[in-house]
Amino acid sequence: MAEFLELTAVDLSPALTGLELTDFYKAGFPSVARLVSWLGGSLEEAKDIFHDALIIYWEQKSKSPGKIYRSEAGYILGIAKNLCIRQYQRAKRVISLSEVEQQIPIPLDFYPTVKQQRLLRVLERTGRKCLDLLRAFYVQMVPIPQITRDFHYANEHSASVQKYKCLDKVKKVIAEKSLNYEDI
Amino acid sequence: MQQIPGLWKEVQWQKEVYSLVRMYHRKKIREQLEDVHQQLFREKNRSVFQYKIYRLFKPKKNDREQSHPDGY
Repeated sequence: MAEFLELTAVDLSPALTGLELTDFYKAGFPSVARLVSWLGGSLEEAKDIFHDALIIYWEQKSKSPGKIYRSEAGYILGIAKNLCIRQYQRAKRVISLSEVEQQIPIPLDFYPTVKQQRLLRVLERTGRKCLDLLRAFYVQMVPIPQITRDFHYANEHSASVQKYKCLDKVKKVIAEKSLNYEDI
Repeated sequence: MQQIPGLWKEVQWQKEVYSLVRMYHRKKIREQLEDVHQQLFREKNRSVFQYKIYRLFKPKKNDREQSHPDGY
């Protein structure tokens, strides 16, 4: 239970406005694109690797807010190198990782399984509002008063009740669909 | 905990729910990042940024032209 309850906020840094995000993108993308191009990858692949690297970086940053990164762009490139090593055969031979880069953890559940992708598709069709609510509660760590306002609940109690209903709904979908998939 | 099957099962499904919600969250962030990407590459007059990126993915005449990316 403790492991489940150990939740951390992994939202995009609220300090990043649209304009800042664009600047961040402009500063970080070229070096990742250069790396992927060198490995023979496409612009589309470079984009995907950069996006994944940014998400992993933000997740790690929010888990250890006190950690100081000498260079954000350098750290993001280090994550991208690790991702490339997983994706491209050639990368294993030609990319050398520094000591710091070798220690960058890539979350084990970062790439969803086929079963999880199917479940997520079902939930997005049937319970998007629940997913948004659970996301706000458990991942973005939005305070209850704000959730109550954002999701237009009458009061905080209603928001909490709805959260439990949503947990139950997702649980039911998982249980039903898991049985179906086992039949396939 | 394995001695209390009900509790064990509860923890397992909670983990599964949280994992799905986290995947949904990552998907939403990817959508946000995709918007930024499209914005940067939609500009009609090629910006320095676009030029810098497109140049990297231009078809090369031969492999020797692909120099080691010192920049990374």
